[in-house]
Amino acid sequence: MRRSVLFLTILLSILTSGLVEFLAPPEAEAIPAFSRQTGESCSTCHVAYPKLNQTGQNFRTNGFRFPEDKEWQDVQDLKHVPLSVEIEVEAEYTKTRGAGASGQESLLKIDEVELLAGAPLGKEGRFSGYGVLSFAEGDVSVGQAYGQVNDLLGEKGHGLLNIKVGQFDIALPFLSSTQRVIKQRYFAQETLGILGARRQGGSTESEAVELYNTGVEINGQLVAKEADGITHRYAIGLYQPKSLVNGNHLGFPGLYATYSIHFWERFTIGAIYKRDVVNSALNPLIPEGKRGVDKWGIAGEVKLGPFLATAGYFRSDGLPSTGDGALSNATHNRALQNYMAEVLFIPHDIPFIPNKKFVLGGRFDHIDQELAQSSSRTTFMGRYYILPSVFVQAEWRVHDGGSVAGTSGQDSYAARGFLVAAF
Amino acid sequence: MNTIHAGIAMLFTLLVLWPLTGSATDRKTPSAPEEFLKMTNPVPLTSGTLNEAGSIYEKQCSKCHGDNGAGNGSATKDLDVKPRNYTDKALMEKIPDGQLFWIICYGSDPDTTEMKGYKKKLSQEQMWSLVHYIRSFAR
Repeated sequence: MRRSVLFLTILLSILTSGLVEFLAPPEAEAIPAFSRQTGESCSTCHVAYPKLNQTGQNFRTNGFRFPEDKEWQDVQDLKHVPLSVEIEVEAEYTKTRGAGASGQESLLKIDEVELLAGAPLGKEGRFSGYGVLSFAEGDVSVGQAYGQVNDLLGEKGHGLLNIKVGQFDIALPFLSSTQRVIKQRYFAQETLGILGARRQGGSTESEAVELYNTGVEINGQLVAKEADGITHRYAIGLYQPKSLVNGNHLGFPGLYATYSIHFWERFTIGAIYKRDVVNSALNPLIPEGKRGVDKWGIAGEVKLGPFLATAGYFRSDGLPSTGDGALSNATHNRALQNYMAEVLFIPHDIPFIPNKKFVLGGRFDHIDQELAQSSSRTTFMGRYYILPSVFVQAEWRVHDGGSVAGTSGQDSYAARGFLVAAF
Repeated sequence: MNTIHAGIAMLFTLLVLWPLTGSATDRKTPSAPEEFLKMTNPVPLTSGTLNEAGSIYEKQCSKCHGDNGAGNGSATKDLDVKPRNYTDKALMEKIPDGQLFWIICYGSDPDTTEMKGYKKKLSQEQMWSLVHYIRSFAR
């Protein structure tokens, strides 16, 4: 049964990709909004969509501006309107076993339709806006939506110091939930709540809608002038914890700070600290009594030829006991820690393969909690670009369930097939 | 256990694939056809030509080639093969006008560079003017 569903999934992906290749316009180099505005190809800013390379990280922090442009108002005609649509079709197969109900399920769905807009406004580029409207599983939701005032300090167009307000991804500049090439979520994201958007409802294996906190952030970058120099990126912010259930959210703001450096053209390291404030006695990520819980992490990335390797360690402290100060066994008193490693293989030039653009990757993600059986996820993926902004992707996910709070206790195998097209 | 086997298989596959991939650090600029290499710039070099070309350069080229033509624009941070340094006089003397024009027109190696062709965006006269402007960096 499993094999037949997998076979059907693969067959469907191939048929769909063939259809898209037949129907798509022959020249699709500049489809998405930023590419249309800047005249640059997708690969100028993305290692592999949606993961940003250094140029892309600079461009984003800089309010979607290249400093050389000097003037940024460039909406000359309909072709340059800063609007994109992304459609994602997904085939799922999941088999669970172990404690709880074992079983398998499969489905094919239009996972998400997203409307994205982003641009610097006005010739001076002092203000930039970005927003995502998402249609998924019958619901309409607002994804990231923020405005940024650029260049509070320093030369125009360099983004030395900016202020950002709205809903956005709180994470490291090079490692975040919105930059996942492997679509499987990070434990650091959905279980620790430290690396970007949290899952909103659904099971741990589903592709549920993600939610973003609303916050105010001061950010900036000091970009190396020489190729082998050091680029610094920094951000500090306050946010409104979304899981607070009894009002006065702004009375208990969360706090975070991130810092990263990129050096010798191939190494990046970064650290993130987050003081989370939420309230539930049942989940270690939702502490009761509106008290803060410290979360932090460090991560590094290295680019070696066609390989991009990323590793990270993330931790969430447990809450202090509410009684006489002794550590209790309650779930929310116990700390969580997470290790992850990911490798992407992005070849530049492969003989005998049409279009010559594909990505292979793997990730190992492991989470521990004091007094609990650990849990891990291993994911392998392959992506083939039919066009620069249209690709098919397959993922094989193995989840070893444990008893860590907030993760699935059951072992599972899952196959995912995606067709993603951006216009 | 299956996970470990799959991991080993994937690593092995990647190691096998790596040598098959071209080195991204090799400059593989295609050479223009002979008839282009023999061409001389038909657009006269005047201050007006340079002004017009300078404006096109600022809008279309400076993100990668840099404001001063040194090939260090902000969009080159992740390129293994950086754009040519137009301020290098010795290098620029070796490159014929026709080669510069042909690359502007049709683009360079798509696997290792982001240099695309501007045939549909710029007129022949504008591209020849750019050749003058590019050469002005090394003067």
